[in-house]
Amino acid sequence: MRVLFLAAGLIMNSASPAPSGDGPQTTPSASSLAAQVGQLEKQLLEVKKEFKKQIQERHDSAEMDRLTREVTAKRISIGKALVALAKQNPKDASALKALVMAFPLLEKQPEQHEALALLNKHHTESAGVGDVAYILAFEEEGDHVPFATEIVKRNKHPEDQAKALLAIGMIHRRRLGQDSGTDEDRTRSLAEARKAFERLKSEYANLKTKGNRTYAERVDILLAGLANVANLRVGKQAPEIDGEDLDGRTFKLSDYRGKVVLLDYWAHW
Amino acid sequence: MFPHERSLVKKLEGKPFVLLGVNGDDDDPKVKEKNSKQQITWRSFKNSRPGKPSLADEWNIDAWPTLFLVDHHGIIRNRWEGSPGDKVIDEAIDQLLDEIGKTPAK
Repeated sequence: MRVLFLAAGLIMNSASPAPSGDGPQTTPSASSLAAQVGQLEKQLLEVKKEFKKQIQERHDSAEMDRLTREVTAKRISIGKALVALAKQNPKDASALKALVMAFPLLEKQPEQHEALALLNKHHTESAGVGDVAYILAFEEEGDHVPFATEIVKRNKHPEDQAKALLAIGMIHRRRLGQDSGTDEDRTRSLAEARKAFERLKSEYANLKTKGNRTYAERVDILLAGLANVANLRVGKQAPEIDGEDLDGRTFKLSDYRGKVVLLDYWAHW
Repeated sequence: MFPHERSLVKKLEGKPFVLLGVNGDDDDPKVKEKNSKQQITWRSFKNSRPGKPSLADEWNIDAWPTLFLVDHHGIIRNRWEGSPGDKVIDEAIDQLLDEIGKTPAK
């Protein structure tokens, strides 16, 4: 089953990024492309709304699996249509928007590679492409550091540079937490993640993230979290949790030592 | 997820097992109302903590849901981003419950 909600949506509030390209594009084909992309965007919103409504109702697991398969098929078909549109005029601003929208819909589809190749070729300098780098940071397939690095190097927009840099740090952080890989790999990933976060803090400190925090604040939290990553792997002692329950009573994870604990990071949304 | 979690809690009642949540609905005043509607009876930490990093930040959570299965010694034995499916979770829990009989808690 696919991951329902990536932290990308939670932190950056960018579940449906709609970046604009560099400068207006006013050829007739561009305006019709924009209209067609706009229609698919509406369809996608409908699919999301419907799915959200359906999962609010009570379902058993089989029913949930069926709904998930259904929504995945719809997302893939919209994603493919978006890539097909973008290919008509890949440099266009609407093509960028289409590719950004299509990317997360096309999990494990060949069109996802096409979308990425087009973005890489035509849009590392476009405004809004930082959102793609950030989404890519949470993809399991492929190495997306080179794409994000290109954006940091070539893009003139501080927002995009910062998001791409954040993406680089997140990718290394994720590698650090993975169970495969040697201690040497992890040492390197930790250093790379720290380097990206430190640079973000020194060069983009006062820039706001979409969560309306500054990058300095966001990065401080990320750096603090980095200290924990190596302990969050299979085979390690779970770090202590000291918190409050929903009624405001304090308790600890270790209160349940001696029992098997399924710890579930969950939410209603 | 919720139906499976409800049935897990019921099925393993009386066994040395507990389902704990970390709830990410930080700013939602209706969370408790929603819980009772969905029959969510298990205990959850609040994700956000005043004056401290949120638990999701401290645990470097990249995706919701993320699940950790912790054994009776407090060792992380599985980590899943997104549910791996009911059967995988059930079998992993059963295996750890079996281990308890063989190696008593420290």
